[in-house]
Amino acid sequence: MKETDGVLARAALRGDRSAFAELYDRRARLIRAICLDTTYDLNSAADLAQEVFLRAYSKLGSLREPESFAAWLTGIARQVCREWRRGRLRDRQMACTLPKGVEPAARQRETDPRLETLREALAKLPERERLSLQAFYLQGLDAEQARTVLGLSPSTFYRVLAKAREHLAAIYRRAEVRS
Amino acid sequence: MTCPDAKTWDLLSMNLLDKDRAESFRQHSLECERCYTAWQEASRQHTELLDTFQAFDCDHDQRRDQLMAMLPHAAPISKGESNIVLGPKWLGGIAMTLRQQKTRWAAAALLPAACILLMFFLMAGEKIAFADVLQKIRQAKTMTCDFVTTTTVVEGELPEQLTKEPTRGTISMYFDGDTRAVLHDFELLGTKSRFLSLGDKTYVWTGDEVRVLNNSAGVNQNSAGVNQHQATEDWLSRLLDVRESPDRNLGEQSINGRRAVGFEIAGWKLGIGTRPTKGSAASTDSDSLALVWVDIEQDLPIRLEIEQKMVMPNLTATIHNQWDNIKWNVALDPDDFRPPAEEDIAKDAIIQLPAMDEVAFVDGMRAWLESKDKAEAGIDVMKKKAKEKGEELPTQMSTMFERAALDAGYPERLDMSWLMVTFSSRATLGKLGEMLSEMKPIPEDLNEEDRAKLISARAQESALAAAQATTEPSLKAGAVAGFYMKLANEQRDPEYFGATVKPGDAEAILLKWKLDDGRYRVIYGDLRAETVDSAD
Repeated sequence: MKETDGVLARAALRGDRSAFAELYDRRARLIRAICLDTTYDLNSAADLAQEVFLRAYSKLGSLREPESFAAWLTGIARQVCREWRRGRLRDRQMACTLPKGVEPAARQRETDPRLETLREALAKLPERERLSLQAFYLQGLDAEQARTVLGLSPSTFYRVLAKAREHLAAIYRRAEVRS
Repeated sequence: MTCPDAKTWDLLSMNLLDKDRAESFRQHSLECERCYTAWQEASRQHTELLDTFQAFDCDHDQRRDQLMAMLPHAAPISKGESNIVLGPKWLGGIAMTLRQQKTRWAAAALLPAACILLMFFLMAGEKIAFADVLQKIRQAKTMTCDFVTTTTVVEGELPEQLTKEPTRGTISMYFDGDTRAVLHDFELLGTKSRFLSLGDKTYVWTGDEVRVLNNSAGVNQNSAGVNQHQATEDWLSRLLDVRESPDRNLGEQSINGRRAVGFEIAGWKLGIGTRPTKGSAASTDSDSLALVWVDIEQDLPIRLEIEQKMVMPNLTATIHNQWDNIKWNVALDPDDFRPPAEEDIAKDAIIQLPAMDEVAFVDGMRAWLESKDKAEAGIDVMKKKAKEKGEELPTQMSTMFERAALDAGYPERLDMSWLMVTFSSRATLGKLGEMLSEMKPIPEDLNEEDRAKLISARAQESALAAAQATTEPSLKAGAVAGFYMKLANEQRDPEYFGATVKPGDAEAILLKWKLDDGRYRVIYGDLRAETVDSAD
C-alpha cells in the first residue's frame, strides 16, 4: 500500500532519507511547474525546485501537519520564487549600470516550443485554474492527490479544473486564429 | 439524451467521471457527430497536455540523486526553525577573552576561526559553488567540530608549556529559534575552560570561576573587539568583495577520507588581521591566511585552517588554528547552551566592553604612560626580593617583561598581540611589586609542610590578583589596537609613529589618518588631537 505524505514526512524526520526521496518523486514535478511560472525557463525552474526541497528538508521539523506536506511544500516554493524574483530585480537594476557593450545575462527562453506555448497559455489563466491543471497533470492524473495539494473540495476542484481546460482551449483557439 | 457541454467532455477526457456516466456519454458520442467532435477535441487536448507536461520530468532521477547527495547526513532537527544570522556580537565576546590572562593564548587562536564562520553566516551566496556552501551554512542549525591550536615560535622564546602541546578542544554551535549559542570547551595548562557566547554576553568558565563579558547593544558597534567595529551591512559588503576577488582555488583533496575542495582567502579580507595600509604599517598581521575545505558531497565545510602571526616584544610566533571534523545539523542537547545561574556569577566578574574610538585610543595611550612607573617599581621589588634569596629573575621576565615595562616611549607597535602583552605585563609587574612589598616574611618557626602551604597560597593569591589587575589594561589595549585596525580596514591610511615619538612632544605626530572630507586627523605626542588640511 502506498504510504501517505504524512507517513513519509515523519519517516524523513526520523532520518529515513529514502522517504524524503519518495516525497521528492511525488512532488518535484509540480514544484518545478510552480517555479516555471516565475523563471520562464525550465532549467532554472528545476534548479529552484531543488532549493525548495533543500529548504523543506531543513525545515521539516517545523511542519505541524505532516499530512499537509504537499501544501506546505508549495508554500515554500512560492516563498523561494518570491526571493528569486527579488534577486532578479536586483540583477536587472545592476544591469542598468553595466558599461556599454556588456550584456546582462539574457533571460533564457524555453527551447521546447510546445512547452513555451503551454507556459504562455497557463500564464493567462487565473492562479487557481493554473495550479489545478498543473497539480492534476503533474501528480499522475490523480485528482484526489491534486485537490489535496491545493486544499480544495472534490466538487470545487472538478469545477476549477474543467474551467481551466475550457479557458485553455479558448486561448489555444485564439492563438490558432491569429497565426 | 441531451448533448453534454464542453466541460463534461473535458472531464471525461481526464477520466474524472464515474464509470456509468462516462460510458453513457461515450455511447452518445458515437451517435452524435457534434459531440463526437467535441469528445475527440477534448481527448486530443488532454493528450497534448499530458505530453507537454512530461517536460517537467526534466532529468528527474538525476536531479533526485543530486538532491539526496546535497542533503545533510543527519536527520532534520525536529522542532523550531531558524537560519543562522549571527551578528558580530558573540565574536566580540570571544575577542574579549583575549583580555583574560589565563585564556589569552587560546582565545587569540580561536578568534580567527570564529571570524571565518561568522563570514559564512552573514554571506549571501548566489551562483558560484562557494556561495552554495554559504547558503547551506546559513540553513544549518547546529555544528560541532574539534579544534587544535598550535603555536610555533619563529623568533625568541616562549614558555615551553605554551608551545609543547597544542591546545585542543571542541566547538559547538546551536542556532534554533531565538537561541544563538556558541560553545568552546578546551583545556589550557591543565585548567578546563569553557566559553559560552549567548546573545550579547559571553560566559567564561576558568576552573570554578565564571566571568561574564557584557557586549551590550549600545556598546557593541563601537567597542574594542577585534572585528566588531563593522556593522552587519559592512560585513556583507566585505564578504561580497571576497566572493568576487581572485581567491585561490586549492583544488581537490581527501580530507578525513572525504573528497573536498579548498579555497584560500587572505585573512584581512575576512577581518582576521589588519588590512594592508598605504602608510607605514603599525601591525604585522596583514598576511594572515584562511583555508576552507568543503566536502564535495555535502557542500559544507569540513575543515578550516587559519594561520596568523603574533608579534610581541622579543617574540614572534605563528598560530595555526584548525577546526576539523566539522559536522553540521547534528543532534545537540539544548541544556548545554544555557547560561550559568545568576548566583554563580560574582558581581565583579561582569566586564563591560569599552568603546573603540579616538577617545579610547588617547585614554589607552595615557594609561600606558602612567603604568610605566608602577611596572618599573614592581621590577625593582621583584629583583630585590630575588636578590635577598640569592636568586635571579627568570630570563623570560627580564626580557619580555622588562622591555614592555621599561619602554619610556609609546608602544612600538599596534598589533593586538603586542599591546595585550605589553599592557598586561606592565599591570602584572605593578601589582606583583605592590603585593611583594606588602607581604610579610614567612615565619621562621614554620615546619616544612606549613611553609609549603603558605608559599603555595601566596603564589595563588598573587597570580589571581595579577590576573585581575590585567583586566582593565587589557581592555584599553584592545581599544587601542582595535581603533587602528578599524582605521586600516576603513582605508583611512593610518600611520603610527610610536617607536620614535617622545611622550609630551607637541610637534611630533603619533597617529594620523584620513577623514571623509580629505583632511586629516592627527594625534600628537602630547596626546592632543586636531584636524588638519594636509597630511604633512
